[in-house]
Amino acid sequence: LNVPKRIPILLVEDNEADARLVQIALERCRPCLLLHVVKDGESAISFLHQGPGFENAPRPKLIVLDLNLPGMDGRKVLQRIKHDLDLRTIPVVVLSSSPSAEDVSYCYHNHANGYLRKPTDFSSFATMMARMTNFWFDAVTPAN
Amino acid sequence: VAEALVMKTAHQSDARSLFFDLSLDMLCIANLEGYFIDLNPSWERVLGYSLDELKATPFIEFVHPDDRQKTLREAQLLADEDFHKTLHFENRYRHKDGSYRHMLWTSQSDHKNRRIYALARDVTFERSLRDQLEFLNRTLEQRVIARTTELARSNRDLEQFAYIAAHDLQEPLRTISSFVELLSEESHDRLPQSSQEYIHFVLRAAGRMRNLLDALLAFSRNRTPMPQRTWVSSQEIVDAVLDDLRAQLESSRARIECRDLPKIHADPAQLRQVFQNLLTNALKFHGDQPPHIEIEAVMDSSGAEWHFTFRDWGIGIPEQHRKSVFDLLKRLHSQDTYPGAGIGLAICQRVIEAHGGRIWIGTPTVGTGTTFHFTIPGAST
Repeated sequence: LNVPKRIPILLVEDNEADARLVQIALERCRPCLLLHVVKDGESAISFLHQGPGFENAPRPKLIVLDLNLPGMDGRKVLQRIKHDLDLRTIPVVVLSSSPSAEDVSYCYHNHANGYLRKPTDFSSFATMMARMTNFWFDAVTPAN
Repeated sequence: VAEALVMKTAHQSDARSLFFDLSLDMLCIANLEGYFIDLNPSWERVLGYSLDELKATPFIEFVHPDDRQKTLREAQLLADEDFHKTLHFENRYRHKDGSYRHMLWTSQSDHKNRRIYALARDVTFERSLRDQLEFLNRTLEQRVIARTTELARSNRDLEQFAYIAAHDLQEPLRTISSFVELLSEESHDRLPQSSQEYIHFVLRAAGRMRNLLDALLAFSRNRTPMPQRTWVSSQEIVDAVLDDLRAQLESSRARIECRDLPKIHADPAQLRQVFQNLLTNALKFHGDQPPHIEIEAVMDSSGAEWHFTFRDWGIGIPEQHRKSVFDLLKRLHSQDTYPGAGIGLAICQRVIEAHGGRIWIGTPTVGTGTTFHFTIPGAST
């Protein structure tokens, strides 16, 4: 039996309800994805380096990053990833509710691969997630 | 005769010396070497020294150290220039008890006799009143500045608070509406009619709340800073807005009449918002007929301000609402009939008032519709 290997992606999101919404939306549009969720910046870095507690963590094909996190916030996480020669090839899509032009500009200046603003209703959000995965898993040729 | 003359002179001289002795002001004669030669008794009363003590020491010794330089300068002028007049000169003299008295001087030199004749008045009390008044004025000024700063800060805080509150409230609202949406989607067929109705109400209320929060956000973000006034053609502003709304104008077959609007002294970006909001409203509330809008401006009879009228033939605004439509979040229609947040006119009012003008709704003389009036101060060049 040849079960296709599920594609790992990492979601950094402290709000359980929001994480669940991402999960539902992704399950609907792309069931082959395997969503890993971490709740803060420190865990995200640890996950990516297979640190304590994440020894078996896979290298994600995409990182979806919330900006406002407790402790090390999303901006710092983005910087850490994009300063890391090994990790910087993983696409990072920022998912935020902030309309602030400063946040958007900050993220692109720090090499975010995309900035998505959370829509206010679920169906729009599901559409957005579908478009995002279409792009990153069908349209582009990944780094590795 | 000679005797009579002597008598008369003696009599005169007696009267003058009485005048000298009894004067409440301080009279004195000094020589050009800096000593008092003669002083009237008032000096004793005011400074506490005996007249002999005052005569024994150069007068500069009694002057407050900080006032000595200007006193010497004034004395030098008297010594250099015959009949030099000193007026309004003020300095401080030491009292025997160590305190200082403020003295206001008038004096004149007489070089032939090598004398200075002077009158001093003790103005210590008046001076303390003046100092007190100055002090009160200064503290009053400082308090006004402090209050104004405080007020500006609390205004900023309030705006900031409104922004943050509206922004942060959106997050839980999104969660609520998303999950209710999912609930309705996944369980719709299994739920009784009543539950479906409840879900419908929750979603509607969430939508309404989202509109309110959007409006609050837009209003608090749009802080209307001090208008950056330049001379700008209001016709060009209106044309630019019409350009932006072209698609909407064409699809609604709108008719816009406006010509030769004047140059005004205003912030172009802020005025653009005013015209944009008024036009959008007129396009929205046009009723059965295609929108018909007329924009005019006339110089006020005093020549101090431009008076704009913005007339449409739409559904109109009932008399009793003509003031409240400018309130934040005020809406006259259900979300179903005319969607909107109730913020456009509040922004118009804020902009016009920031420019020192007024905005109001007039009573239509003929037909239906609404006439907005607003004024922009500053005559055209």
